Order: sequence, then C-alpha cells, then structure tokens
Amino acid sequence: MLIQLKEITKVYRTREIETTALDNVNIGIEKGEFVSVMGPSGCGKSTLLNIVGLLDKPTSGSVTIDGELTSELSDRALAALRNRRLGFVFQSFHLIPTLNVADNVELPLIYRKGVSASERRRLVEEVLEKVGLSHRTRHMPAQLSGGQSQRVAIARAIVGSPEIILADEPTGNLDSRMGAEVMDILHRLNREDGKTIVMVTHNEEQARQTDRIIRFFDGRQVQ
Amino acid sequence: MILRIIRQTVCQARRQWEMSLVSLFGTAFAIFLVMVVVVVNRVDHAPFPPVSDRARLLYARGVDISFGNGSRSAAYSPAFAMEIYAGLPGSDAMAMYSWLDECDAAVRGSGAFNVNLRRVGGDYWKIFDFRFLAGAPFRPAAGNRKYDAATPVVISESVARRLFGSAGDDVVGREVLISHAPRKVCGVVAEVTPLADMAYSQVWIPFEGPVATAVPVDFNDFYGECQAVVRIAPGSSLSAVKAEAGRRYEAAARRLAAGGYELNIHFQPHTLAEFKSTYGTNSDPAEETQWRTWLVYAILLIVPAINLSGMTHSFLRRRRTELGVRRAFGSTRGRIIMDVFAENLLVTLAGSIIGLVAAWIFLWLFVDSFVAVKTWETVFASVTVAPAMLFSWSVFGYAVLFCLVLNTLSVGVPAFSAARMNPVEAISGRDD
Repeated sequence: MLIQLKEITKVYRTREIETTALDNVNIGIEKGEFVSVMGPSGCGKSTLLNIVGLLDKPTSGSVTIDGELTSELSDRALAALRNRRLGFVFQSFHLIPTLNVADNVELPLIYRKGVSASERRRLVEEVLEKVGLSHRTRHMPAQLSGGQSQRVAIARAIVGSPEIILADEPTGNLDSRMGAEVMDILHRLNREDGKTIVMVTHNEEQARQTDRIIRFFDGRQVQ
Repeated sequence: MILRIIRQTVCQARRQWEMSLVSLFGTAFAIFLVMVVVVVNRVDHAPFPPVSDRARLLYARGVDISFGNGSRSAAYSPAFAMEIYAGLPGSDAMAMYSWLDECDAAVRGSGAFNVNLRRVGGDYWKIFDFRFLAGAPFRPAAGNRKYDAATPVVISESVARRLFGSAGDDVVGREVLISHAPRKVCGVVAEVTPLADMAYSQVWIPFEGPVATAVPVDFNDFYGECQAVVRIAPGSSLSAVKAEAGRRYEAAARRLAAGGYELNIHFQPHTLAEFKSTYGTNSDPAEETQWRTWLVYAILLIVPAINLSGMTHSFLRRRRTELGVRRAFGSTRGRIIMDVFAENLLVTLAGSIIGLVAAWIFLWLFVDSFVAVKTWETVFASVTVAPAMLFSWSVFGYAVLFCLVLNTLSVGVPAFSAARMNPVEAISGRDD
C-alpha cells in the first residue's frame, strides 16, 4: 500500500463552533492506482487531499506514505517528503504570476538539494515537452490560456518525478475540450509512467474513467 | 538563484508598482537622512590633512581648581601641560597650542585686515600634517628654545596672497606686521578649513619666551594659555596613555591638596569625540557621546522601518497563495523567510544606493550650510569640506550596515508571519 490512511479524523474548532470535516476515514491506495474522490461540497474531499498531501495534520489517526509514518515528522521533514514524493495540481492552477513558465515548472527542484542548474533546466525542458509546451518557456502565466496554465501546473507537479500526484478538481476551471486534454495527460502519466494519482472531482464522467471512486458524505466514506 | 530572485523581484515590483515605488523611495529617504547625519557627524572625526592622525590624538583643554568657596577654570600653564602630557609612555608626540585668537595682519604701508591667530609649541608641526607651499615651520634652535628666526610666523595661502600677491618661495623671509609687531614669514601652508579643529588658523606664531620647566606648586603656576594634544604611537593603547596621565594628575593633585586646593582635569586627555562633548561636567564624557549618536541613527531607521514593515506585510498578504504553493512543493518555513529577506534586500539595496548617492550630492552642494564649526571663537576662513570627509570606505560601510539593518527591521516580522501561514488556508481558504 503506497498511501495508508488509518482512522483519520479532522475537526476544525473555533471558539463557537466545532466542525468535523473527516470522521474515522480508513483508505488504502496502491501504487499505480488512479483514484477519484467524489462527494457534495463540504463533504471533506479537499480536506482529505490536504491530509494525504501532508499540508494539514489530522486531529487523530495516521498517514503512512510508502511505509513511512508521517505524524511525528518535523516541518522540515514533511517539506522534504512533499518535495520528493508528492506533486500537486490545483483547480485554479496557482502558477506564480511573477515567474515565467520555466521558472514555475522548476519550483520543486529549487527546493531539492543536489540538483544542479543544468540538470534542473534539462528536467524542465523534458516535462514541458511532455505536456506540449516547450515553445512557451519564457511566457508569463498571464499570457497562457486556462488549458495551457493547467498543463504547466501538471508539468510542475511531475518535474521532480514524484510517485504521487494529488489533483484537486484539475478540470474545474476548464472547458470540456481543455478538460479532456488535461485528463488525457493525467491518464498517460498513470499508464505510462506509473504515477499514483488521487483526484478530487465533481465530474462523474471523468471519475468513471479512473480505477476507483471513493465517495464521501458528511466527512465519512460511503463507498 | 540570484537571477531568479532578481527577475521575480522586478516582476513583482512591476505588478505592484505604486507600492514598490513607495517602498523604494521610503528606503532611499531613510538612508538619505541617516547618511546625512553620518557624514555630518563624520566631518568631526574623518581624517584629512592636516588632521590625518585624528584617530590617534588626545586633547586636553584646561584645568579646574576649586578652593574655599570658589573655583577657577583656565588653560594649562606650559609647565603643567608638560608635567602631565609630555613624554607619556605610548605617545610619540606632544604639542601645545593656544585658543584661536584674532589679530591684524598687514605689510608696511598697506591696510590691515583681521586674521585668526594661534600660538603653538612642542611637536605641533609634527602632529598636524600641514602642506607647506613654501618655506618650513618654525622650530626651536637646538638647546636654547629660541627660534632660529627672530619672531617667525607661518601664514596660510590666502593670507599670503592677500599680503604679497603670492604664496610661493618669494614670500619666505618677508616681513609682516602681526598686531603691529614685525615678524618674518618662515612658511606658507595650504589653506586649512575651520573643521580641522586645533590645526585651524590663518597665522601661527610660537609661544614666546622660555618655557618654564619647574614643576608647578603654587595655585597660579597651573594656569596659562596652553591646551595640549598628544599623539598615541601606532600599536599603543589609548587606555594605557590615559592611565599614565591620570597617575601624573593625581601626583599634581596631591601637591595642590596640601594647600587646600582641589584639582580637576575632567578625565582628560580626551579623544576628539569626548573633547567636543560637554566640558565642565564631572562625568566621563566618553559614555555620553556614543549613545546619543546611535540613538539618532536608531530613530532614523526604526521609524521608516515600521512604515516599510506595514507595506511589506501588505505585499506578502497579497502573495499568500504563492507562499502556500511554495510550501506545498517543498519549501520550508526557513526558506520562505530567506526568500522574503532576499527579495526585500534587493529593494532595500536599490533604495540605499539611491539614498546614498542623493546624500552625497546633497552634501557636496550644501554641506557648508550643515556643518558648523564647534567653537565660540570667531572664525574668518570659510568652511570647506575635503572629499575625504564625504567619500570613504567607512561611509560606504555605514551605508551597507544601515541598509541591512533597515531590511531586517522592515521585513523581519512580515517574513516570520508569512512563513507561519497555514499552507492550506494560504492556497485556497475553502472549507471542504
């Protein structure tokens, strides 16, 4: 099991209100699986993705990535683990507007020790070639279409060769044609490169094309 | 990495150009103010001819003697100045000089004009590195303290030109009337700015008559018209020289105490900074001098830093999504802080360079209006500022230091705040 979530509970507390976003969730994801996570708004899908992505800590329970228990890791160790093992694709792309395409894609590599500048450039060119944007390296994000932006975001997510890609509604802000292009890239990454993909989506059609659908309702897994 | 940070900072500045301009010019103005203060202060301390050894000089202005219900303050007698300050271990020269005086200068048959006059003795010409345009300084003839030229005088270039129309070798040996008394010109020096402390004058003559060598005993033997300056030998300790002077002073104080007098030389000899601070108190002026200066620097930096800090915080709030994404892709909190500091440093550096250049231009044009000659004596020459006072590695070093301090103060809190942002909230803020 590449990703193991055991008895995960996440409770958000304010002074007045206590909200249970996830309630005793147990999920295992195998290496090379393409898993969709579905459910109505507010059911805990994105919270789940944030916990898998080590961006948020559960209130109770444990997250294991490739056998490594993450609950006791320091902030620095978690950052290193995210950098090596995880890639993120966001619904709103979240490209850094002050960096050009090449610099955006290079971002995970500058936080990784031992990668020379020339090696970084080579890897960036390689992944941009893969997503079909090698002719846009010097463009700024504002000069890209939505589909192009999401392809750059995917390139950024895979440039460091992480085993796991976490995609939070990757086609949510795209039209059907661009959305199909993006899904095509994700499927190729899964089939050809063996990437494990966990994707949050509202799109039933796209979810049916994945290996498994995990459904949530009110913070609980229902299927 | 540096190129990336530069590109990003430039792009960021373009996107938020109004705030970037305010930040840039706020920094420039802060550095401008601080550097004006630094340079104006530095004028008091910077070495330049003829006070190139300023850092090695110790000054003694005079003495207080208290008795019964009264006291008297005055300059030293030559004998007392010699007793305390001549031949101090660790010193390589000692000179005496009078207060700056006024007198008439003229040649026979022409009108007189006012000039500043100073009486000097000892190693005065050795301690202060005057540039002689003609002739040489007066020196006592070997063995008898009388000068080898009858009533010699050294005059400044402007005085020479006004008297003789020349400042060259043809002036040496000519007669000039100083306060109606004839003297022979033995040397002409390049003009000295009044900022040169005790080296400034327009006319220099020796102390007249034999110097009393007997150790002063009587109350009146301690007073005279001499102030003293001691030069510390290279490698010697300032505190050791002062300590020995202190021991000699205590011996003199014991002699006076026998007659019911109390001697006070106020922790002299003083460094230049101490010398220019308040005279006449019983506290050690060394403690008073430094903290006031640094307090001014601190105020001039902290106030703009607080404003810039607010702007930086606002800048970073607009970039919270970006910072969250960086955290997602492996940036640690420490790296976020470093990146923010580095980006801000570029802006601070650019602002500092602008501020420093503006300060130099401003001072070059207007320094005469800012720099006051700290003396109650009437000064006839114009205040001029040598380039060495304004442009030096130490001034540049101050600018860099203040730039770094300003950067740290203005970005420290916002950077830490940004690094502690929850990456999930930073990225989206949605609750799902």
